[in-house]
Amino acid sequence: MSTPSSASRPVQAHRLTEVSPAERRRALTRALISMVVTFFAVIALYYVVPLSTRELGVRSLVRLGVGLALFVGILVWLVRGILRSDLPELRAAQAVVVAVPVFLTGYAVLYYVLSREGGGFTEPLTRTSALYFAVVVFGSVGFGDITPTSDLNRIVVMSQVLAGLAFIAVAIRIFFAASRLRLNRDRPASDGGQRGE
Amino acid sequence: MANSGPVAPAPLHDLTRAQRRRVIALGLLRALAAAAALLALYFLAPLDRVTALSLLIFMVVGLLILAGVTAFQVVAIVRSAHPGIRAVEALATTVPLFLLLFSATYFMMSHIDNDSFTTHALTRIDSLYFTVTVLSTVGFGDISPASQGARLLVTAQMVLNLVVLGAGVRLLAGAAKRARRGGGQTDPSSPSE
Repeated sequence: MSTPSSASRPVQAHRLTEVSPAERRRALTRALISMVVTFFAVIALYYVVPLSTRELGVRSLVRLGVGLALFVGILVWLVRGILRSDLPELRAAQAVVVAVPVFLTGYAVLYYVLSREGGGFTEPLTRTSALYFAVVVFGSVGFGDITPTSDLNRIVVMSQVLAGLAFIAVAIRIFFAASRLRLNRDRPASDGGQRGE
Repeated sequence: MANSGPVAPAPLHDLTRAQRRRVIALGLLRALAAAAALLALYFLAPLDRVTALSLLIFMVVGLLILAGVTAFQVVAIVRSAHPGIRAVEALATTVPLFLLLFSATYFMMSHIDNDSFTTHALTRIDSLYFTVTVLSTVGFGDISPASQGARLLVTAQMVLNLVVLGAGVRLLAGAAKRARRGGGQTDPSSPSE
């Protein structure tokens, strides 16, 4: 909002329709490649990260807190990236492609650890099954082939259902709001006023 | 893509009633023909005589075809004289292709390893039914993936469903809207509706 910070920003924000076709094609290609790479990087990370299988306890709670803080940190980092991007619309789309797998693998880690440490699901979960279950819940498919049986696990699944709805409703909207904010900030006078049909 | 549209987009209400009817009927007929051809291919192709290698090749080629068709449809909408109709036609072609590609993959998978799904050796109808219950998020669970490979594949479909239902619909509708406004000129203030 303040003028000094906008002066220090190195690049001006542009809409995708404002840049030349060649530039747009290059930007789209770059964004598409980076989306595919980050998506699979997150999934690969999920499969290789070591997850210890000790008893549930205070330490698990600490780890949960660290995970949650990490997720919020990633969201904030993504929004800041959009607010500084020269093509914020594209950057917002990229942010969604980062945030969704992070959210899903985050819960998959939780299910995997819960299953290893205390059971509480209809079957012991492998990493693939844990990710599969998280996606079944997120997509509201709900096959019911894997279900939580312990109270703790049921609470965690409930939290994913509610957080998933909030995630769709809030996080994605924030990304695109940040993109609009970034675009309007650079030209408050020229076309900031023409909103709505 | 911006200013290369060869035909000036004509809003449907500028046409006479007979012209309009013909444009709509033609678009729907083409989409119907494409879907029927895909369905016929699905039921006639020897999908039950496959090996793990041919399944892998099928998946890679299928994914490339799906990406190619989607890109082609988006370009076609932007260049179309009737983007609205063209967008509906594009959806009516892409979604059946998406469903049948996954359905065929599940069917082949189930025939390579009978224990891939809780129902042993899916029929083509079983497989298509399963794919549709996943896309619609009905998820009865009467058929569900049992092997790790099948679960990974169904996970991929569920993630892609979100793309098909969310981005796909929005992309096609957005392309139609942009083309209707003429060339690459977009309304700068068209936030999410």
